[in-house]
Amino acid sequence: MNQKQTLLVCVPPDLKPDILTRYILNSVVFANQIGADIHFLCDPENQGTVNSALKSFNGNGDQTLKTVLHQPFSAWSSPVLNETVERYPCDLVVVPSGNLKDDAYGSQIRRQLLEQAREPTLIVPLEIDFIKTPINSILIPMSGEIRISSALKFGLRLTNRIHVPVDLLHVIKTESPMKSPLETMGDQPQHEYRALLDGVLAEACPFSEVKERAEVRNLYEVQGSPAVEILQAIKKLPFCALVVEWHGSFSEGRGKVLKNILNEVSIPIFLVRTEIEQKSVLKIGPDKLVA
Amino acid sequence: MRSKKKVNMDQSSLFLESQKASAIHGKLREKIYEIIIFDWDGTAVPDRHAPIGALKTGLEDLLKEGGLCAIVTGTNLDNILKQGIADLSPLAKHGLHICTNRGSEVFNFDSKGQPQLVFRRIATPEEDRALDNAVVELQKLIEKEGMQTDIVFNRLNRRKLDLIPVQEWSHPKKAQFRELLEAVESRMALAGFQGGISHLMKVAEEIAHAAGLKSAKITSDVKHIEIGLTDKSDAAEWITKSVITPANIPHSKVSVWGDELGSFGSLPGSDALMRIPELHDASFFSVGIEPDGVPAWVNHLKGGPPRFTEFLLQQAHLRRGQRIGLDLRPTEDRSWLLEQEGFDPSRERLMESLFAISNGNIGVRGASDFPIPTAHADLFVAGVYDQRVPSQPYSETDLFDSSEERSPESEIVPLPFPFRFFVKVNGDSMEAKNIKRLEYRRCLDFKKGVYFEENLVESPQGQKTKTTSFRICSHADAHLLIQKITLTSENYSTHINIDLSLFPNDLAELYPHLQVFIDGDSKTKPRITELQTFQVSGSHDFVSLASRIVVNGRELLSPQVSAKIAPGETLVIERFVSVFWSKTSQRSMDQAITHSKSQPLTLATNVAQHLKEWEIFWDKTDLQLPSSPGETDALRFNLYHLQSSAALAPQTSVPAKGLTGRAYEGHIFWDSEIFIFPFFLYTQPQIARQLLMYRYNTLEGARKRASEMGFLGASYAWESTVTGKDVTPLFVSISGAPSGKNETHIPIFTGTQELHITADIAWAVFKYWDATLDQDFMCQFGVEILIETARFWVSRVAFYNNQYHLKEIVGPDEYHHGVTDNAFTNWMVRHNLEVAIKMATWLSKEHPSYFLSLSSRLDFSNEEIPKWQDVLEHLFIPSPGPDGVIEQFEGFFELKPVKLSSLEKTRAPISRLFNWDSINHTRIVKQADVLMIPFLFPDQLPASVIRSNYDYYDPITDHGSSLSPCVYAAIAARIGRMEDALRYWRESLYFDLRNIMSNSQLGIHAASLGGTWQALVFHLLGVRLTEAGYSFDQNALTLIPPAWRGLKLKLVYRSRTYALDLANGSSIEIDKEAA
Repeated sequence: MNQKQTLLVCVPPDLKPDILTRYILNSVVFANQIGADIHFLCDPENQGTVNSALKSFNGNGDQTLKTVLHQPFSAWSSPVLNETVERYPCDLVVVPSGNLKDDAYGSQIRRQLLEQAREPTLIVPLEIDFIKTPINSILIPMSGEIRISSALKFGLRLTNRIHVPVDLLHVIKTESPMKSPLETMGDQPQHEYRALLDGVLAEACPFSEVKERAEVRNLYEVQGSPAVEILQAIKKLPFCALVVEWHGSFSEGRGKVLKNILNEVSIPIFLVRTEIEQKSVLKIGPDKLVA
Repeated sequence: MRSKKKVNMDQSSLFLESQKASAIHGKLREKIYEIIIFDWDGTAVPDRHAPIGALKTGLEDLLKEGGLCAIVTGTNLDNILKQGIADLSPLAKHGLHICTNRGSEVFNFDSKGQPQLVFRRIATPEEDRALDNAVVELQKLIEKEGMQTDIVFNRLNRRKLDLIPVQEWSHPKKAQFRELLEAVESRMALAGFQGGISHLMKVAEEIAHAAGLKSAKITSDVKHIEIGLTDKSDAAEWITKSVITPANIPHSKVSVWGDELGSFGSLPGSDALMRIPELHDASFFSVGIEPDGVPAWVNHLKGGPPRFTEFLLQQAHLRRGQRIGLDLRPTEDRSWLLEQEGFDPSRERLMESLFAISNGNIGVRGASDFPIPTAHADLFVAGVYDQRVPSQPYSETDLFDSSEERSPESEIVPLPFPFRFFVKVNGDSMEAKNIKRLEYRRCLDFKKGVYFEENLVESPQGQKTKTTSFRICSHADAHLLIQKITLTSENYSTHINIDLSLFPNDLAELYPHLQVFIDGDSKTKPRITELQTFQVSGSHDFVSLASRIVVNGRELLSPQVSAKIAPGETLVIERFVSVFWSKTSQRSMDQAITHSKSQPLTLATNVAQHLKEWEIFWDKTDLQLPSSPGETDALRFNLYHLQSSAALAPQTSVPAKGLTGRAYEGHIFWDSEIFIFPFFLYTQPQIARQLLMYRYNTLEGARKRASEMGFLGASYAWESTVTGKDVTPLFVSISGAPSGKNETHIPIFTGTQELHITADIAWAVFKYWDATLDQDFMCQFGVEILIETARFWVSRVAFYNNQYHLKEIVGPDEYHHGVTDNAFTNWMVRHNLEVAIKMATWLSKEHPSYFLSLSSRLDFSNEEIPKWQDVLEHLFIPSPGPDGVIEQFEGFFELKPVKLSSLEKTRAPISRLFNWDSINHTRIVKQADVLMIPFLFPDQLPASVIRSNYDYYDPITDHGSSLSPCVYAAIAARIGRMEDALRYWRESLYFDLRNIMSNSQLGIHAASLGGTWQALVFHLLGVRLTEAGYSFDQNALTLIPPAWRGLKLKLVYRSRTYALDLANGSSIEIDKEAA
């Protein structure tokens, strides 16, 4: 994350000018905060609004914001859209928030952008103003399983850029078997509890440095439904940004939870794809697989 | 003459002599000799009747490793065989020649180990007559002057004339030769012979020549003049011609050993005859006293036969090391291996625990050769603790209460990875986060105690590097770590830089307990590769690591390597790290440097000695289930870690995680005595004794603790480190509890209420006494522990309702605090009092002087005992109710019942912690509590009572402790519930391998390893050891799985080793002497 980042800000055609201006400004504020270049992907008819918004941005004097405007190949539809997005390599795709439920043109575009982008995606809320209410913490829901967490990895790197604390939320499903170290109390919790938390972070983000992990402020352990508990936590953490890991589909697993959240809250949400895990085999003796 | 020489020797010559001796010893430790030719009497054995136990071991080991030996002796073959050589194995004898009768015969051995004559000098009848004539002539010449002599005719090819045939000198010992020489020459002088024995030898030579023996060999052992056809030079010639030359052995690799290589008076040394011209380049060593010194070509080691035996053992180690050390590979039989294929960074901390290596004194987690940033690639040194440091990432700082007195020994100190190497290829760092691991394999070899790793890694620029390595935490040397890395370029030709420094760049972040100590006083840099000394900030301990590194055969003087490497080319790095700690910097540095410098820089010796120790260990303890290979393998994994936790730890006991993890802060619990100690007691009682010595050494801390609590005697800490002070955390704080509170503050009661550990230690002391009858331990240490612990209980009990009670207690079930009359605790206290009375009485009767001394020191008299007896007789012991169930503590049956789901077994939900207070009022049990009674006292409760308690407590126990499944396995077996027993036992067996509680990444569960062994041996198999021998529980044997019926194990009891064989339900007592 020390290298210069590039944001690809997607400007769908259905945004009203005032909303569009706020969206552009929020994107620019964020890009400025992390020191990234911005590439805009917008129709020719919106380029004027974008340029005006850029001019109105009184950026950080220490940084030079580099902006480039691109035009989509053709209509905002798959697969052309996919090819367009892939044409401009970036570190983060930025998409405006909005209804994902209906079949309106804008909703479809958002869904397609989110589902097709291979890079992490930032959903910028249209109701809030990043200048007045900047992101002041990062909330990351953790599964607590022994696996690499792309969300945590992304969140820790992000916090290195924007210098806000990270809160972790672990939702214990009442009916689930206790697989995670975070769900069991261990033998001597006075010795194990914090160590297991540190262990879970190490499992989730094995290549993170000590100083990155030190940004973790709290682990909130809650019991109940993930969607409900995440929404509850967001209410308690105003101005946070949510980092969520998903497989790229709103119709399964975490995607369903995510859809609920997207429709309920107005906070910046980063979507990060699940990484393909490296596998190892542990054997004892000639043929005994231990794990 | 010798004393004069010594007096005149100035300091510099002393220094030179010391240097020379050191050089000789260094050469001996490092050089492999292809053949060893040695004199028998005085060199290999002190005399012809001495037992040859150690010598036999040395010869057996060396010859089996392919060494060649030749014994050169004046005596006959039969005498040599009878003294013990006949007992060597046929394989060993294959490399042995015996040259007997002063060079007249040579024997070797056939494939069955039977001797066969390969050379004999056969005298012609003329030569025999000439020998007879010559000796008679010589006798006449002497007796003419009135000096009586005797002739010995019956020797092959020689005749002996006894110059002093008197009773006093019939069998002179070598140590008496000075006196013998004086006596003989005095006789000769009285008879008018001038010139002493040497002159007489010249006369004998002339007579022999005149008798027709043109090349007679005249020798003398002072008592005799011998006229013969051969002497030791003929033996040396035959060996040279028939063994050394055909095998193309360079003469520089021949060593010749004797005890008479220097002259003695006017006599030449008899062993010097072996220095024939062909062997002038061989190395000659003398272990004799050599009162008149030795020629310059002799290395004078002194030390007699023990020194020679030591040399043979060293040579065996060197050869074994050469065979397997330099090309050390995992054991071919994979049942001795734990293997990981493929690299999964998210499971790395778990792997680090499982693949850890340790010897009890030092331990290193099994981090990869390229550790990831989140690795806990720690080195631990037993006994090195520090105060809790309020900084992340690992210190359990949330437990630190600012009002608490900071103990400087609260937390074990992780030290930097001692196997660190940091590679740059053409300037590109090969750190874990930069490389792609194309192939990865790591392997822990239990049989050898060696960690192996293989990597094929690719840099971002596509440069591929292959590394293979092994690591050893020596079990032959408590302070030594050994590493070998082979690094090969697969596809590039460029410069490579390797940093092998022991100093990590991230010291401050990862090891906040440590500061680098700079030795400002040192004037000279020690000639080793690197010395790093760390100072522990709170305890002010110093830990020094001295490293010597050899790269492609050349020793480095700094830990940086720079080389150009081409595809297929290899760098071979060998590293030896000496680890010492002390309260003073100078001492820790001096010890590390001295140790490091004394190391032979060959893997061969060090590796071989380490492997030998593991070989001995497995010979004593390997527990095979021949038809159940998976369980055998897991048992070996467990025993490997058990042994690693305590093999060489004379000062401390075993922390909960051994030396495999930071968790539990390296604290020592009851795990050590109740779960770990019995394994050592019945396999290696000397280690069991050391574990108890830790408790004796912390007795003062226990006294202080009892006093601080307002009681008498000694109360051991629930969690202990080096002083005996209790270091149990007082609370745990947790962010974000389900209740919605941001911070939950949970008190921990074990430190103040879990007192049974004091009685547990007394139990172990008495168990040790029962199994060893070690009077020395009991007199000096054991009784004192028993007296002080008994005193504590007598002051701790409360008397009401005509009985003594124990209030405010936490039993093994830690979900309940503040209880009264915990059944297990009270039972243990009663036992503590019983054995204290018994052993104090024993001491006063059997060893009154010890008793008096102890009584004086402790201000103790037998008058205290009636009070103990009173408490013993009136202590409340919960009895079985009508249903046979023993109430865990007063009021337990009235607590709120809760139904446990099977999901909660061994995975107690975190809500138990959050709801700690309400759990205290429910009938959920964390771990075996009442059932600990039949676990420790298997024959003291009726089976029906045990069954009732098992049935009652099993459904309400969630096994929130690794100590629980092994106990349940044991008790289930005891009552014939074999299905339950095996389920629990296998859970315990695979506890770490399957990460049953999801916490093995914090370190292995040492107590569970020991509990698994106990459950198997004493409960599932029902082995009992008594003075009469051993017995199996025949009922248990009918219930065990058929696959176990070929089980074999060895146990030690009262100095006897029993080899138990389940296949025929029998055992044999072996090696009584050795045990």
